[in-house]
Amino acid sequence: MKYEWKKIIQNKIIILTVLISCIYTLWLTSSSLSAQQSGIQETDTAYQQCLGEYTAEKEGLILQKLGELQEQMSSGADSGELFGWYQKYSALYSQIEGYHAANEFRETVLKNAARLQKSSDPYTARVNAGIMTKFEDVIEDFHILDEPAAIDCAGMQGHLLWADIVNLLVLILAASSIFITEHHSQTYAMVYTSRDGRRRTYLRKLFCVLEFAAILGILTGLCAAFPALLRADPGEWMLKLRTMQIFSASPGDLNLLQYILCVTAMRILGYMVMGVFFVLFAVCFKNIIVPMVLETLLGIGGLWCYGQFIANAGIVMFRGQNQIYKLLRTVTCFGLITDGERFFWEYEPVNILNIPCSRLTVCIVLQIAVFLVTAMVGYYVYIHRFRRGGV
Amino acid sequence: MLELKNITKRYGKKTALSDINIRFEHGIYGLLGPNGAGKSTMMNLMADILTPTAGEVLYDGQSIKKLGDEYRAHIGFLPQRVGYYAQFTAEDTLRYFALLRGVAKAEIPERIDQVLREVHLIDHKKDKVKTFSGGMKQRLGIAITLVGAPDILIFDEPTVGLDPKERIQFREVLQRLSESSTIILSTHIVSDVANIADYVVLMKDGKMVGFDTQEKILNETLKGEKEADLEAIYMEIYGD
Repeated sequence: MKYEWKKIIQNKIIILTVLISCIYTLWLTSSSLSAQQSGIQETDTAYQQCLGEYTAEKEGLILQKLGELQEQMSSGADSGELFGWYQKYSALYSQIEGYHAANEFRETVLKNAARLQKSSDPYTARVNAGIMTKFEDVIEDFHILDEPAAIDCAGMQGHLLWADIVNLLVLILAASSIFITEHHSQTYAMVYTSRDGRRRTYLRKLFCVLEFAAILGILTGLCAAFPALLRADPGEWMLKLRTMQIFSASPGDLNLLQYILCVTAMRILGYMVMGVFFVLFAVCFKNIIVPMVLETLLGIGGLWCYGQFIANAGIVMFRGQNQIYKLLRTVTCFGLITDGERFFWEYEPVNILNIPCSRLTVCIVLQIAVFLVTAMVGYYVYIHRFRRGGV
Repeated sequence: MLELKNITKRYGKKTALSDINIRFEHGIYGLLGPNGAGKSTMMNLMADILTPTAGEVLYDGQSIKKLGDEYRAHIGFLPQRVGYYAQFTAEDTLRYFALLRGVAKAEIPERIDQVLREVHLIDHKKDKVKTFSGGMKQRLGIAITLVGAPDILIFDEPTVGLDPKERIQFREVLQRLSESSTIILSTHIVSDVANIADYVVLMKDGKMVGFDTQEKILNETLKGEKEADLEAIYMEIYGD
């Protein structure tokens, strides 16, 4: 496999594009985090008293400080520093709001589930039983944290559409480098007539592309998390997702670190599924143009179109748009790649023969099946494609 | 022993090979014929790149289609157009193909040195292939063919790009290898076949028009009327 890697690495365009993708992702997340910085350097005793394990007194203190700061700013006092402190206390309060919202939502959902469990519909009963299990956990040990950078990181994991598009472009180049350039460098016949030139070579090349896809996913995840890593307290990584407002309806019991690992793993799976499609196109052709056009239309074009659904997800542009969006999230890998966070927003059961399965589970199982079938078709094409006409 | 049994190969309406029956046993076999005679098609069929339209290729009595990987472990094929990975060194290239051809990892370094010595490239082991001349690349291609120590060597126009000295050296290599391998080579250069081939196969328009030892072909075709010479045979059969 070392030599297949060498064929990828010797393509300088690939290395350059990977660097560009990493730098772009770092810039995207850094600039988002920088916007949150207030620039206040001095410590404030009252502020320090608000941090740590949540108590109602601390909540009261934060509200009191917010009120005081608002009054001072509206009376014409030096607003620059005051606004900075206002932002810092607002950030603390938004954590508390998230904590309350999560607990309220949990109570509401559990009450509804308990009420509807009397339904005669077996599917509904199963959904409610699932809800009771998933929302059982109460958020414990909620800590109010100083300028939680990691919380911003959670939101950033799903807003990397253009970074994902660049990564797919790199993957297209990698698949082409490994397969099509055997024709370009006129080494195809020599490889194909070797003992291990068929099945083992196909598998070696395919695994190389998949490894590359995994590395891209890990790099993207690291670059998205890196700016927050620099600023975050270790305690922030154990923060429950449900304390963050966008995740307040989350049925999962994940903390932030687990969530980032899950989203990264989902992205890797999505890249691998796209990678195996790119390999399938690459083994069909001797020239590089046609498969690259097809791969770009399918992979990049598809991901971009999907991204438009996310962008407009809050706006119902036509009847059934949300249904199309949910369908795409379930049956394609685009949701795994660029919309992973949304799978953790709320409980989304899919009715599979009257059994509620989470949308994420259905998506993952489908993508694994698609992956295996596509890999097998690719193998068949690789073995038989040029047997009649020659190379 | 390699056998082509009732082999026909068509590309659409064009028939490249028509009902070829031939058996290759020990020795050096030279395929002679003009462009379009079917030599490369026959080479590609024997190398298991192409599938025949009719008939089968047999290795020791078994169809190569059924043998699959096992058959390819016994062959070394040098195609008409040989390519390389420009950024690889000669050693990298040979190591890559040695692994593809199933050479045990422990044996690879010694095997690489051995084949590089055969083709007089040992001093260029660590050089990148992109720095090689055309002749050196062709010799590296020959080395790739030899690295798996195959029983059957199939060379399609192997001396293209070689200067006269290199061609003579190549013939010497083949003669050494013919002691343990079956060698099948196709070439336009009649002297290559004349100087080393034990058997000559004459191809024309997808058909075999002659197959025997050089001596018998010369006697049968020219019947002593002209000075016995393979070039004369070539002109006699293929004319203008």
